[in-house]
Amino acid sequence: MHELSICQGIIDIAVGALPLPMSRVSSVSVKIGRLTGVVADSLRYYFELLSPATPLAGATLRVEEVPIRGHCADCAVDFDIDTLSFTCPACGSGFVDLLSGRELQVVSLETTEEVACGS
Amino acid sequence: MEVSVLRNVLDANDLIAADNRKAFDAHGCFVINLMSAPGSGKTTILERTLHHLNGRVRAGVIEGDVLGTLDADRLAPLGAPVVQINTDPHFGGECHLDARMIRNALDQLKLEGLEIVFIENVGNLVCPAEFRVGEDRKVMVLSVAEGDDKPLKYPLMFRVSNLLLLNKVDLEGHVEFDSARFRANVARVNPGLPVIELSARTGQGIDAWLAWLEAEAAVAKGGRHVG
Repeated sequence: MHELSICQGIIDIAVGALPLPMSRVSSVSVKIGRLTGVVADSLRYYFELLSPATPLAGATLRVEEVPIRGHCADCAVDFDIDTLSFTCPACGSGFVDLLSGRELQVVSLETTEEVACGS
Repeated sequence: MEVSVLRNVLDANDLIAADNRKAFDAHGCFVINLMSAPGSGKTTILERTLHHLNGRVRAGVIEGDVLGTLDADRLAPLGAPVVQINTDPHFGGECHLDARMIRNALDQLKLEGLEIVFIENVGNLVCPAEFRVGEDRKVMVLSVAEGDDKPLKYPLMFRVSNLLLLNKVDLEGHVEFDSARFRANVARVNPGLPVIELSARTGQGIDAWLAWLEAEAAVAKGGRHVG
């Protein structure tokens, strides 16, 4: 539901990371953890809506969805959390630390050689 | 050419949240971020709470809603300063409060002399879980009418919260809610989450909530002095 502000954040970070003000960006890669509840399709939709008015015009948003992984604090087993349970499948403990799943990160930009000039 | 960025989208928010935190610390304010779905009873709980604190503990409220001042109007007579934030003056505003909105609200809420500040977030079990605002504790409310399966549907909210207020327990028996199943579901996502059962309508359990607030405020204050 909060994809609009997340997308604005992605664009702000990406624009701030441009190697040259006139760099042309072909894609922006982001990691989105599954626990964040951010919907990748909505993010792409907002990116298409917001990016044309920015130096990222023409770029595509590449979304890598990161699975939820847990680490059991009691028996030290690492495991995927793909059901809705955060309990350890090995020992049943509920004291589980998250290894991944909360990512909301701009990973990289892909720029083309071509440099836009003038208008 | 690939340009490595590796920056978290919420860093900008978290920086402002840290600034808010400093402002709260400077005035010794203990800050609660109160979150729930719409209609769980956040405002009624606050009404009860402010009523009990009135004359004993100086409290302030930042009230977040997409639209309108209905909640702020309800709280205004209770002796605590209330600042209303509308996430968007037009329809379709943000579904959560973020650190920047709280920073803006701090222009209007005079922190001096306030011992506790309640931030009532926008009613939503998803997005508010993601945004720090500079709070000491995150407290979530769930009402029994919402069902015992909610921990499994909104795990992040249950994971990030420091306390769960289970509200409207006076409705138990009238709605589909199995208390044992609920406790088991909470344990599946966050076994360390304390639960206080209350009814903001009847006042049941309010004492336990006030005692929790007092104890946690003391812990937070101790931490600040050490830090």
